[in-house]
Amino acid sequence: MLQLFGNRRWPDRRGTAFLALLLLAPAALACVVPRDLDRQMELAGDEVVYGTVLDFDEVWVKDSDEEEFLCTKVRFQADECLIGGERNIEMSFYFRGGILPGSPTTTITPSAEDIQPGKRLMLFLAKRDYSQQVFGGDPFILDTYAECYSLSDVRSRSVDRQVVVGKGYGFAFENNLDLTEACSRIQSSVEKLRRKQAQDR
Amino acid sequence: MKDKTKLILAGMIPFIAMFLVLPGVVLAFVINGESLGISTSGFGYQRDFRIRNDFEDASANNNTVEEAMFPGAVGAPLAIWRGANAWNSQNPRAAQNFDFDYQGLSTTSSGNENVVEGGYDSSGCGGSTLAFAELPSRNGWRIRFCEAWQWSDGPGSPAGSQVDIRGVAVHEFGHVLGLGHTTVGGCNSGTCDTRPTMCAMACSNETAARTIETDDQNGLNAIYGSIPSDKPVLTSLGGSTNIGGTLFLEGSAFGTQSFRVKFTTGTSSDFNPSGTVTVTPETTELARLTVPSSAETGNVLIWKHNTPRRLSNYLPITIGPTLSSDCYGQKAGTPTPGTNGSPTFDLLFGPSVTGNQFTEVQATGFQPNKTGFLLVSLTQSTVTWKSNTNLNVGFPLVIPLTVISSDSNGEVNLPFAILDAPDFFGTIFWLQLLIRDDAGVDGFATTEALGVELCDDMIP
Repeated sequence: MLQLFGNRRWPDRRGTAFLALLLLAPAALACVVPRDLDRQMELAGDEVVYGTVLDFDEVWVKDSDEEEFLCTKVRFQADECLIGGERNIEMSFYFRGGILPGSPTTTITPSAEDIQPGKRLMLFLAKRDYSQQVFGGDPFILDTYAECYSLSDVRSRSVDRQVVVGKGYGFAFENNLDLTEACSRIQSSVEKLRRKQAQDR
Repeated sequence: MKDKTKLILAGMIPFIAMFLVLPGVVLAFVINGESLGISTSGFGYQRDFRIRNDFEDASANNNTVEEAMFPGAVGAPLAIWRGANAWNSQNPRAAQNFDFDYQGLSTTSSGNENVVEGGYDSSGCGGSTLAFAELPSRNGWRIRFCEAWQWSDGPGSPAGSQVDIRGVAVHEFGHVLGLGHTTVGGCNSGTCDTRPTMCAMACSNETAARTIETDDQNGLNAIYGSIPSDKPVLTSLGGSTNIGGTLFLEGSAFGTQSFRVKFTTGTSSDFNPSGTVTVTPETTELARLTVPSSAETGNVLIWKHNTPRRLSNYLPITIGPTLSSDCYGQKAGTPTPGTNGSPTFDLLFGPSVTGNQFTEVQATGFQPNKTGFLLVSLTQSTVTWKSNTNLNVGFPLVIPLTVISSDSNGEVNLPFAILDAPDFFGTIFWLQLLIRDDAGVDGFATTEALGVELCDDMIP
């Protein structure tokens, strides 16, 4: 650790968190439509989870017209599934494109910085029409990086908490907010969406 | 005092740290590591693109008005080509050492063929994705527009929930040429009008993304640099744009080395493209070539394929049908030699003339500054006149004998003005020159006969 100002350690844990937040400021890689949280739930809200990346593999798959492309399969330890209600389960999901250096990728692929073992994330996952045929089973899909939020630990003298790192204009979470608050907003949005769907029916 | 200094330094550290750890924020544009080559080896030439137009929405292909700079393209292809043009060197907002090369329509979309595909509906196109580019692009790239959205080909603003093809194309082409998403200039405030095209989030229904902004231009400059003085610039085309016709390229910085002239050909991408003609320029501002059979309506560019490699701006070109060789001259009969050997005819197509009008017949190889005659007939035959002078046109002549002189170079230049005279289309006029020559067997040297068919594609 860098030593500055006598025997004071810098950056201290608060400084580290501060820098982590700066480093995690928007670094987008997609061409996607803007959305608020309600719209996000419509676009990709079959499941919303938060937890930890366990590991990942890159796999070549074929789509309906036999075209081969590279996907990344991620094993994820979900602390909580906000839609399904499960807690502390291991799950997996896919996204298009590779993240290893030199792998074929796309401009909607989540960043390699986010998909790292041990990384804490909140994810908006979807079931897609093509996924059964392409991947077999009925896996969850992470559509784009826009559905992937970093979680950061913020520790202060009074309380340690987790923060969902906002991504700026047009994202479901534009600004940083506490994980508990984010979960609460998601639940509200889910209820709103269910009411709307019921009305539509 | 010491404590005060510490305090000031401590206060500065977050800002210093921001500068050090966030170059993307400080420097604005973001580079994704791609760069599209124009070499003939390795992954070679990658600035060409073709379009697979599988958009299903009527609104994606209902603009049927062609534009002069984008010949042959309407609907989605026009919108996409215009999107690429936002990054080209002649666009004042771009104005860097970069140009895309339109290669027409394609029915396939292999990943390494530099294809822009509309109407894609499989993996990658779920949820919020409008379009995406597949990288790395330096060994062949693809852009895919997701079918889930209702696309608009313009030229006006998209209606309702439609999404602008052209604006999204500009953004995706930006990825392909090497730019990631930027976060400056209003990207995070949602200010649509003036924010960079390479912002991560599209503005709803926006058309502002059709033009690039300063931050985008700076990114383009960082990858490809400013326009160098040896980048060829095409300013106009002359002569014939028919297959087999003689095309003139006019501009600047052509250099003296041979280069390739690249046409739209509609073929798949490869790393050393076909459909090119190797040309040695006549001057640094003028080149002449024969339009190849593979050329299609679209664009034409100069590609300096030798080091330092350069790609010119493009000019639009409408390719006409294959010319009958008769339209541009057939030769018959035997010249009568003189002081400088056997004079011969050539057809010149004036570079300043538009359309396919040939404007000049030239004969070379005469003795300088001598007078003689032009013979014009509707028939060709060869008879010997006097002791051994070949008359290669038949009689009677269709115009009276015309007195002609060779110039100081021993050349005769006959300017022509071909008028729209449909009654004479298909008629072959036979021309011959007899010029006095001290060494001529009968005091004359002559050309062969030159037969020129008056074809409708000669009419400007």
